Amino acid sequence: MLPIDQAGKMSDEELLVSSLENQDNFLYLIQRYKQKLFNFIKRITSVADEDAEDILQDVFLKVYLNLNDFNHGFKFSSWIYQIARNQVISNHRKLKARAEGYKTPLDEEMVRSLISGLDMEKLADAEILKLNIRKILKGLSEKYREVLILKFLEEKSYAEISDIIKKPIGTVGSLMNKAKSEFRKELEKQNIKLIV
Amino acid sequence: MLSLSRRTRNPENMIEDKNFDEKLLNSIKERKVAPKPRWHFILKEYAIWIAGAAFLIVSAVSFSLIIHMVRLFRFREFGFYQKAAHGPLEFLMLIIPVFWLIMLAVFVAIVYYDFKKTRKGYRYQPLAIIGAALVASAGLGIIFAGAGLGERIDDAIGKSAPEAFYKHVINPRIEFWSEPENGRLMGLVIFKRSDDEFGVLDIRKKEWLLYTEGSIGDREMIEVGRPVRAFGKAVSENEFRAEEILSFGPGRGFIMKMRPMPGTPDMMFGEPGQGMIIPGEEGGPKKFFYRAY
Repeated sequence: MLPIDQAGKMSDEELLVSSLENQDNFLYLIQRYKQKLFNFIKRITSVADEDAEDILQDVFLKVYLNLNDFNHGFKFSSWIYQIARNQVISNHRKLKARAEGYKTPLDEEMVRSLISGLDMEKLADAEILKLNIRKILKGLSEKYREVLILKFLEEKSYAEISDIIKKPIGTVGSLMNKAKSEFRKELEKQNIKLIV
Repeated sequence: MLSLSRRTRNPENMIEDKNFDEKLLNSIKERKVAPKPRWHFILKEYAIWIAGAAFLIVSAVSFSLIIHMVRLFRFREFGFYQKAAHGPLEFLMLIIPVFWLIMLAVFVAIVYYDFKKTRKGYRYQPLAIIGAALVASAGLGIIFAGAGLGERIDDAIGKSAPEAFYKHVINPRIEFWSEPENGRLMGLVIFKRSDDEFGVLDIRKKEWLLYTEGSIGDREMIEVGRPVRAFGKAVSENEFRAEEILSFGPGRGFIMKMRPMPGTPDMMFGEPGQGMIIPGEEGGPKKFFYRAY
């Protein structure tokens, strides 16, 4: 197994190659991505922590099984997010039945990032928006919620989002515009006043 | 937009199981999970591309059949169809090869779906993929049509497809041209009585004597054992006077399958070129049928 400090300096792609050579090195990839993917799963679903961990386990198992499928023309992070997203979709029915309410892991800076990204600073009362952001996101349809989360909370570029959700970049752009428009409509629906 | 590095971690969002990583790795080891070999993914990718290419070829064949159905369509026939069709739908079915257009659409859709499954297929807009598939089908289809492939396939389908399906769905013109009472005769030339008199067996297996004296068109194409199409007038129950002989296009195979097979019992073979001779009923006139050499 690689020493920790050496593993820490390696890129994702280098760690992947070393995981194929030595199974134990896969631990470093797990450590690197477990929290990010856990948060991502929680953000796009409404499941309890235990269920999110179960999904996360399935994700890493799938990643390990398909290590030889990784194409070095892609970003590793896009690839692993894609697998996580697909796993969430394939567990969809099971997840819906055990949904316990929407608990997107959000912190102060994420919320500000989202408000800023949606050009909402001057249009809505920011404090109220922060308090209600989870409800607003829940009110959106899955395809819009997903792109907003990937863009503003996971900080993915349009190209990365295109690779994760497997749609053309142009479509990602259209989805983003519609998502912003739907976000504003949801604000109004939830009686969060827009400052004109 | 603020960067991730300044984000404060909310302890509520931490994974609860502190030994998650080790447990997962141990689980992988205990279950002897191993990465799928590289050749598995290479093979899968090749299979997708080969399937896509195969369906592209099939859609090109459909295109070549569209060309075949439309190519021999003459402007004069447009008038025939317009007059004789019982409505706009029937008219469209007569002039447009609807069946092959639907087949082309189906196969192009399959090519599109297949391409989306490739590694980078999702990066392209649907219209771009469909457009490219149509252009490729058209390009290949033109080459296939030039090589006579569309014609040969139509012949084969005409011979082997269920009769009702071919004449009502694939090639509705067969029925249209089999209305001698309305001046349109189509069938198989079964004998030659003189340079201007031919025996024709129509699709309902009724024999006609076709008179071609004074007619215009492709008279030199009339040959025993080949199909014929004539526009003119039925002058009696079994006689048709042609005003125009038209070249035979799609449906040749359908008509040709009416030829009796050699070796059919109770048939006697005549000299080559004379056709088959079978005794008439109760010693009546002999009948001639084309014999396959």
